[in-house]
Amino acid sequence: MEKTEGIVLRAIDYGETNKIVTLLTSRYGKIAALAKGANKPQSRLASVSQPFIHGHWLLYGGHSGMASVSQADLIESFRGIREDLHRSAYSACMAEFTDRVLEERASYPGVFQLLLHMFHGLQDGKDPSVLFQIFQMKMLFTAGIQPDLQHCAYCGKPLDRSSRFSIRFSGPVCHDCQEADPHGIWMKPNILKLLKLFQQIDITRLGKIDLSEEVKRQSDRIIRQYIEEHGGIYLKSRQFLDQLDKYQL
Amino acid sequence: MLYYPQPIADLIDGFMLLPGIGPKTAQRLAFHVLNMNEEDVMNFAKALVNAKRHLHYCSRCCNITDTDPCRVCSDSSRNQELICVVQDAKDVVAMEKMRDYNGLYHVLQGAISPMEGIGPDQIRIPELLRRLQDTDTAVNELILATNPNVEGEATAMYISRLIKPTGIKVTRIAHGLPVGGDLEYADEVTLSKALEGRREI
Repeated sequence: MEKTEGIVLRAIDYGETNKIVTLLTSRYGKIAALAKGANKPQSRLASVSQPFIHGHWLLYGGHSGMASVSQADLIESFRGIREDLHRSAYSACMAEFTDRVLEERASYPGVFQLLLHMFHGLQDGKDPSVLFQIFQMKMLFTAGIQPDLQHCAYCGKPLDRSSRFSIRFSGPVCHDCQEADPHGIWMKPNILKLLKLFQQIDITRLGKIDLSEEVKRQSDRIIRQYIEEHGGIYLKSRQFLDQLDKYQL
Repeated sequence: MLYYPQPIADLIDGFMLLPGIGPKTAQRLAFHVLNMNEEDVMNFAKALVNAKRHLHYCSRCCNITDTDPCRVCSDSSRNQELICVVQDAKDVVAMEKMRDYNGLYHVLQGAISPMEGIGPDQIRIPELLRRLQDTDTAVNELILATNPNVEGEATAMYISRLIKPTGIKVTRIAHGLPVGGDLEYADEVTLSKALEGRREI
């Protein structure tokens, strides 16, 4: 028996009445567990086996196969997220990204707290796209592909100003090396500061965030291309967000 | 090596195509078919082929039907001003069994799912919009009867945002305690939804 706190990253139907929930737990990392009967209307696991639910979980088995959920008790349902289309879309992105980056049953210190803080931030009405960018920048460290923002990616000199981000050399390039990568993404000088801030910011002290739409779009483009190119991670939920943006909802 | 004669091996392979049926169950079903009388087998085979060949989607409500428009859409005694939006054809049957609802339906054939990347374009929302814009129909109320989970809620929120500006009344079915349930064992989410949706008696 294992007792742990956990957030549901994903829940898929298994057979007629069961569900397989992928949990991000505070003690054991990512775990997939079978929630027997969770699709029955009278099941006590039905409401906790939904994406984004934060709860206490009692799991058993799983040493040679999949764990099963014995009991689950809800701590926070994040209703504010699921009752808003945009916020649920962004939290789906975060959950999917976490699911893609983490290996099962491996320890990743801080990731559970990070995701929990992000969900609380979303619930409190902080800008979802900025939260998602901060989340991605922090998770790049866990994924092992964090870009070096302190040095020029081409010549290696220390860097404090840059107006180009090179996806190819995986980092910002200094003024002299701009020509090295003709496909580098142009960025406003303060974007580099912003990316550094995203990497280092203490999420527990996150206050009100106020960024212009253009800055958000630029930094988002860089982070997204970087992740797709270096992580090979294309999020399904990201396509959904693109569709929402297309209809401007 | 071929353990079975070809016809029965084909039959076993056929049954294996069905969900939840593995090799052993398929063998048992195949041998059961051998013991059935020929008329029943013929009827079964015809039913399979007919279901695939003659069923299509209703041009108005997107439900599965063998006539177009479907029986519900062409029934003039029904309330034409009321549309109930459901996820699945099976949900229409569930609503019909209740015998309390006398309006029309719209079957979305799925739900918006941020997790799976299923957006509004992949389900029958454009058809719903076209239907509401049609000048022949005057719809007063749209009832959103999608499932009370993340996907269903997302779908309901999306549709309500689209439709609200047109002035059509959009309602969502209530969430709460099941009949025959027990308050003590109800979870917090359901209970708070039930409390929110309470009404005077």
